[in-house]
This record gives sequence, structure tokens and C-alpha cells, in this order.
Amino acid sequence: MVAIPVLIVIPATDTTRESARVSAESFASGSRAVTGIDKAAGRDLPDGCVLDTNFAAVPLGMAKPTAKSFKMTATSKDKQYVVRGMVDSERISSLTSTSADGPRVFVDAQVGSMPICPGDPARGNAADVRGLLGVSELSRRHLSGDGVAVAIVDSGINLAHLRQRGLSARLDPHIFWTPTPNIKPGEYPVDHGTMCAYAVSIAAPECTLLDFPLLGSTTTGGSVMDGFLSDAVQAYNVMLTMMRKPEEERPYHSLVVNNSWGMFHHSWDFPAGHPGRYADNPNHPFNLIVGSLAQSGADILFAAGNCGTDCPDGRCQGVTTDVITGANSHPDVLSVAGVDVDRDRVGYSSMGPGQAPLATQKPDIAAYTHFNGSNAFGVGSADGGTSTACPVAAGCIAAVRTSLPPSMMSSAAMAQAVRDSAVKPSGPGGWDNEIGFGIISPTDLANQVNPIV
Amino acid sequence: MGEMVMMNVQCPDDKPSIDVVAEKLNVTASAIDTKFGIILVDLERHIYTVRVDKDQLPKDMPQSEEVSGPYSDPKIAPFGTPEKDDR
Repeated sequence: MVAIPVLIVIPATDTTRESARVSAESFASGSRAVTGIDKAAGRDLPDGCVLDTNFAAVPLGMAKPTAKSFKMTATSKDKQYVVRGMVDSERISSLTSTSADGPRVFVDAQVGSMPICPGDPARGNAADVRGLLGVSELSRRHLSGDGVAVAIVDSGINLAHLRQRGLSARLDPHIFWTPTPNIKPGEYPVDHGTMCAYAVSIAAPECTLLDFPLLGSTTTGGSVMDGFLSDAVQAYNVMLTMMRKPEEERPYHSLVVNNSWGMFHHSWDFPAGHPGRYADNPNHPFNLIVGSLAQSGADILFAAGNCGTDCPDGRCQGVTTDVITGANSHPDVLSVAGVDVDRDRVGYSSMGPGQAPLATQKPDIAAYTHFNGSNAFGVGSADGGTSTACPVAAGCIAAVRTSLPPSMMSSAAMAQAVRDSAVKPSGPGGWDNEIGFGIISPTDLANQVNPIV
Repeated sequence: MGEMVMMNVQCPDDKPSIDVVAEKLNVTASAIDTKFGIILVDLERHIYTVRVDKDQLPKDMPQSEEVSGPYSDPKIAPFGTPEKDDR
């Protein structure tokens, strides 16, 4: 037996009129109190319907809609009212009135908002994200990212722009790698990498950024940025060299690595079944070094991708399944989906599962995106994509790592704690293919891994 | 050099030389991209990755934990704010 929510149109009675009158007066007075209906109205419902006494009766009005207007005028003389109730699904077929004036039962359909899609304006801003993440609480506990390095493996960082946006951003120019060393670290054109660096700084304002510009801009237009995976292998080699040193000999006790990139389409890779393929191959060189860097203590995050079913990026070429691939699906990384500040999944956020034999429960978690923050793409522009969600999450981990180096908690244990402390805004707990185990909650994470004594 | 491809090579030595890696791949030392280097990718199994001139590799090279490849080197792109597709 399944109970179905229904709306029931019934003839007017003193009970329905009184309910509607009280509701209207309450609304007019500005009261936010919930009004309802006397349970006596339940006697007027068809057999099997259970009245919802918390729903005030709504008059249907006497006017009839015309071709020009659906406006209806409701008055105290209305002959019919709408009430709400529940009915056993097995009795639905029997609920047909033979009289035009008799009770009529309609489904109370669930409605929802449209997800954010490409081209939509920003929703909310960085201050909203700070509030949602509880950054003030992190700050109170001195969890700011101080002593933690966050590598932005991306298009390059523009430190001056971050400082213009009010951040006291730190950058270490000595730990750096790029395939084209013609620009100094931190002096790259304002672009995707700067957006990611800004997002990290929301939760970890005192972390030290490391610049690994792999995604080079074309000389014309500058709107297409890509790189090659072999460049990422070299960048990871630099980080692995650092992390293989004993903790006390490293310039930073912790390293968080942000990767807001990946493959958009399987055609970019070797074909399925090829032993040298990247998408689902644990023995691919890059997947191997990702595992090694994680083993050495680094917390590694990858964006889930922008090939969500509702409204995928055009570069997905319409493919929205099996889209979390390669290192974005690695068992030793956190794959991050995107939600807006209303905690709804953005329509372009790639959905799982990931690729066996790498890991299938991908994405792992979600974080906030599509808000106004860095202005890297113009004043009021949206910092979007799962590209932004990923560094938001990276900043959260960097903040918690302030007092918790890898010698005290491995990257594997940290990743599990992130999953365990993630929050589902609705629905059942556990993993789902849209937002994984839930939205990252750094305050809950901090409470779990480093409880306040 | 022709098209360069990534190959995995297992070497028990710490920091193997170009000559050692080239011998395992059955290529000349000049076939290996020295700028890319010999990169340790698997700490436990001592697997290194190099970039090699594809034309110099033996045809139908058998795959093993000691030598495997070539591996794909796909393009990667940022997952930033997607633009509306008007197609």
C-alpha cells in the first residue's frame, strides 16, 4: 500500500468556509502561523481519503476562465473548495464522481525548480558560500589553511587579481612546474586558474597556493584552454618529490591538490579495450602517479565534470553516461560534483557511476558552484562548473588540515571522513550518482576528525 | 624525433639511467625524451614512465609489468563555467 498525496474538490460547507476565512485573515495580518481545517471536513471526503488538517481549504471561485484570462474570482459564495489529503494508491481507480457537484480527486504533483544550466547567471555569492560552509566557525577554531599548500593544477594563477578581490593570498613561487616557463608563477593572465585559486581561499584564506599551469591558452581568442596528460605526469612528479620527504623536512606539512579538469569525451582517449587507454586503466602512468601521491599523504581532488544529463557542456557531444573517467574516477581521489547555494545539483554536473576497475561510487561528494566570487570572467560573472566546486572542497580540506598533518591522518582516512561527514540536503543517506555522499561540510568534518576538547 | 608515446618500465634501481631504461625498451638512448625524464609513478612496484619515439619501439611489444605501453596521452581541458550551446 502506498499513500498518495491528493487534492480533493468538495462542495462548500460551513467547515470549508470557516477554514478559508481564517486563512485569509491570517495572511492579511501578516501572520506566518500555519492554518488548517477542522477534522469534521473529513466526513465530506470520498471513502479512503484521509484529510490533511494542516491544509486550509482554498475556494475555487465562481468565475470561469476565458480564452484571454485564467483569472478566477474567489468569494465567500464559492460553491466548491479544495482540500488536501492522502489516499491509498490501490483505491485511486474507484475515486470517480458521477455527479458534477460531487467530490473530485486530483493528484498533488511534486514540483521542483529548474536546475542551473549553461548560460544561467550566478546564483548567490562567495559570502553566501562562506556562510554555508561555516567559515566563521572554522576561523574561530583557527582552521584557516595556515601551513597547508594547495596546488592549483590549472591554467595559472594571477595573484594580483586575488588581492584586488580582497584576499590576502599567499603563493610559493619555488614549488612550480609548467611545460612553457615563459611566465612567472602567480603572474598568469586572469582566467580559470585564478577562479579556482579564489574558490580555495573561501574556506582556507591562509593556505599557500602552488601554481602548476598546464592548461595553456591558445594565442588567438584565449577562450580554449587545454593541455596534455603527460604534462600532468610531470607536475605530479614535482609534488611527489616534495611529499616523499619526511614531514619535518617539507616546506609544508600538508598538500592538497586541486584538479578542475579532465577529458570531455571518450574520443580523446584510446578506444575501449586498448591496454594503453586512460579512462578505466589503473596501470596508466597518470593513474599510477595519482595513487603514489595520495599514498605519500596528499589529499587529491578532481572535478566530476560538466556532462550532466540535464544540460551538458557542448564539448560532451551529447554523451552524459560513463563520463567520470580516468583520475576523476580514481579510488584515491575525491571526485566533486556541483550544487548551487540552494543546495540543488547544477544541471551540468556529471553524474556517476565512475569507471571500474578504478572506482564506481563517483562522484564522492558535492560542493558549491555557480556563484559570483572571483570576477575572473567579468564583474558579476559566475564562478561555475564543477571546476569551482572542486576547489571549494579543496579549501575545506586545507582548512581542516591546518592542525592535522598526514602523519596524524592519512589521505585515505581524510577522504573517508569527508564522505562520512557530508550532508544530504534531502532524501536517503548513503551514496547516490548525483551528489555522492552529500555536500561537503567542513565544520562537521572538523568535529569528526579533530573534536573540540 | 617522431611521435612520442608514454611507456612504463619497471626498474628496481633507484633513479635508473637513460641507458638502463633504453635497454629494457629495446631502443636507443636517443629515442627517449630526456626533457620529460624518467618519472617514478609507482612507489611500491618501482615503475617509471618515459616518453619514447614510437617509431623506434619494437612492433607488437608484449605487455608485462616490466615493460608496458604505449599509453594514451589525451588532451585535457578545464571544467569551468560551461557556455550555452546554441547548436
